[in-house]
Amino acid sequence: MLFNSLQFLLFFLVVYGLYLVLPHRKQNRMLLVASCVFYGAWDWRFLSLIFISAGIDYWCALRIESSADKKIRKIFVTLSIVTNLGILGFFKYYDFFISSLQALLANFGVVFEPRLLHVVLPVGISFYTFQAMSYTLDVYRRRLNAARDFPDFMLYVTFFPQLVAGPIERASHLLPQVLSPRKVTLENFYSGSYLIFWGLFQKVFIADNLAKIVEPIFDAPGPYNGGQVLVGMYAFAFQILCDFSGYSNIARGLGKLMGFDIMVNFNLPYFSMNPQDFWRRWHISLSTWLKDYLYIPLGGNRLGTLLTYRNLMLVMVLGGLWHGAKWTFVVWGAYHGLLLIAHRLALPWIEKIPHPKTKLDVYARIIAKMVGMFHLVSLGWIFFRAESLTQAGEMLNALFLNFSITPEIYFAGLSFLFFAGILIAVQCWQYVLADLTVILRAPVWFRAAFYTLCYYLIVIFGVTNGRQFIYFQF
Amino acid sequence: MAGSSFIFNSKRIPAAFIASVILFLLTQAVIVHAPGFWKFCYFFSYPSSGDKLRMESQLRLMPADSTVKKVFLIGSSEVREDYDADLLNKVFAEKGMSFYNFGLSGYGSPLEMLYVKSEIAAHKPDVVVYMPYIGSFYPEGDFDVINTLRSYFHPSMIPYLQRHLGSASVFKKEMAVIYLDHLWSQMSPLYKYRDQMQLILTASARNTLGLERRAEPLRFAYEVNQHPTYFVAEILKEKGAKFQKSAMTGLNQELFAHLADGFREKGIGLIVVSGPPNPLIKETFAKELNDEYQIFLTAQAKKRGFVFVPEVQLPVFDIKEFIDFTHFNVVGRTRFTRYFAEVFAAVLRK
Repeated sequence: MLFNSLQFLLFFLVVYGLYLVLPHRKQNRMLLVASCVFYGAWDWRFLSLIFISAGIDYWCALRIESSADKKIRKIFVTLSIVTNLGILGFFKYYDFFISSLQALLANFGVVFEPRLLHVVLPVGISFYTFQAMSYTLDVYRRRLNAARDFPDFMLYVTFFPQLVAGPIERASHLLPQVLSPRKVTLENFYSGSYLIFWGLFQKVFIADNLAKIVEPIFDAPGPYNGGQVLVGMYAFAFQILCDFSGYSNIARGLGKLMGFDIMVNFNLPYFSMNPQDFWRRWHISLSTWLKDYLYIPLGGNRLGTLLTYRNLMLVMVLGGLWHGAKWTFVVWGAYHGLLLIAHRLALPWIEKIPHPKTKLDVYARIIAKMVGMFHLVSLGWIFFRAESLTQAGEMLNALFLNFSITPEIYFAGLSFLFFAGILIAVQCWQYVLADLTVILRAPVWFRAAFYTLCYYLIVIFGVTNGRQFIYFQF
Repeated sequence: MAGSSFIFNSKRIPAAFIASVILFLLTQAVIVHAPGFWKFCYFFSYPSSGDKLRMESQLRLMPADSTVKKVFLIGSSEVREDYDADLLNKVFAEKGMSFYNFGLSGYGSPLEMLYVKSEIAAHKPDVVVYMPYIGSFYPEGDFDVINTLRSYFHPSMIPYLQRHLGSASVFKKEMAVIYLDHLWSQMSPLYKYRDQMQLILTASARNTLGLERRAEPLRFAYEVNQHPTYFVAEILKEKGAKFQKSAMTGLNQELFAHLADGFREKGIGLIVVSGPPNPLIKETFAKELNDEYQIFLTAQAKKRGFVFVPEVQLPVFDIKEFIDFTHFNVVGRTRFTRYFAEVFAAVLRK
């Protein structure tokens, strides 16, 4: 059930209508049923998987909290982690690791022909397993009390607005909202409605139209033209941003309508000025999860330079692998690891650069950093989107060594600007005022004109054939 | 009661949202009343994918001069490709007649003509020339009425669908989308033609940037003859059963009678011309079916008092004059249009 579908609209109207008239405890039960219906619409067979995974986590957290013995607490937290990662590993990575092992052994002349299982990937598995793991880990660290009501805990895990593509909510943030009565205010209704509208606009106007520029370039077998790769790279950079942040905005908006506060997952990532800044703005729920539950436990930056670099690389490679069972994602993660390391290495030199003397210098330097960082990130997207490392290599080769602009590439570039232009303008405004809600604070006449423009763009150019969100495949 | 029932007791109205909806509807009303908009749409639209929009553009741009007699050519893409309206207009200019080609991609069935009728009714044609072909009454094997209704739906079709295809046919899930689509289309003309608007704006942009040059509106969709092997392959594939009698046949026959009566009651002259077939198409279906089809139209013409030009009266066309099984190329089109001009002149004399 895609957010941008008639089916979901009807579903949500019923759910919201019931939500407004039910008392708190019944609201929670109703939302749990609705979340099961929502997930079951994707594939009812995997409902049992969520229940098993969440059930084990719920039980483990209770055992962890009730025991003072460190060893027993460790056993149960390990059980929770092993269960979640085991489920994730089996469904997502079994065929990948077995095929990779086969390829590796073949290099040494060893013939190994294992049976691939072609396991169907349950929608949202990467998100809900991480969300459930964070709960038991926080209980283990005594940052959170274990939930005592299984249906309420299940609602935390399966809450439908953020179930299939995040944000990955922390139990300390979402669980108290589940457990306490929520207030549905007018302000939340308006801001939630705006977020849903803007998220849908990002998806059906920007992301899905940019996909039409990206696909002919990335799905073609090559050889590639550098100009074509450049346009495809820019278009994909904004396609993935709008697809994913659009989904997150819709999730936040749906939550707000019901009085939930779901975390911001994207904070103008293409305005970042260095790799560290980028990961504080892009897919914030995942990057903070990896920082809190992987990077810091590994030692973070407290164990010396080399180990810091090791930790950064490990976290980014695993972060890349989280996205999918392909070597292109691993390389993408490693690339970002290298960027983070390179930034740390370059910091002493960066700090020696004289401070800008005029305001113009200040702005010029900021813009240069942003543009530079945007291009570094976009180069990484080539690996993310490419079907194979070979294709990514060919595209990079074309970009730097076989560059030309033909009339068709020029037109594709203009099309990219047409579809991404309004987002760039809005985000510049958001950045300058340091406020993601600038549109909501604009005068009535401006908002009316802005919404009218968006309606026209959606009506004429909106892709309405229900294209799936990119992050559903993760 | 949960939370606060703010929706019911709040004094703050969503002014920006309300204003934007009003602005959206008002600006559309202004746009669709601007002749320049329809000229732009017609100029940059494409035959086949843009047929509905091109029909409405022509209707909107029709001069209000009541002294000129209007002749509407309706049917499938066969009408669009086979009639040269410009040639007819030259021939009949002195007789104060204007021909408009409203051939729409599809089967040209009476079901689709019900949609056309709803669009052209307000423009009061003097004569309607309808040119069906055998596929208009006897659908092809893979025919799905849902696909037709997605493009050409009108609520007046519902009783006919119910009667001939069963009540379930109007309550299908796909029909809900069609009904909603029709509702939105009535409220927003830009929504109605959204698919074509994208193509039109893209064509306009490409024209402005010099990537393509369009000196005049495109009139015909097909230019290159199919290779002879195409016909051989199709004949082998169809195995003599390309068109078949089905529940749609009864539905279309009833609708045809309804349309013919409707035109007569409104004082609109009706001429039905049997679509000129490529000789090779006869090898794809049973001869008896064609005979039944011709007999039906002949009987209807006698009963309902309209002019019918059956297949036997048409000139014989060579396969070289066709693009494919049903559409003429420029040679066939010119010859057929001249023939039709003679028929029309003869009808006028009577």
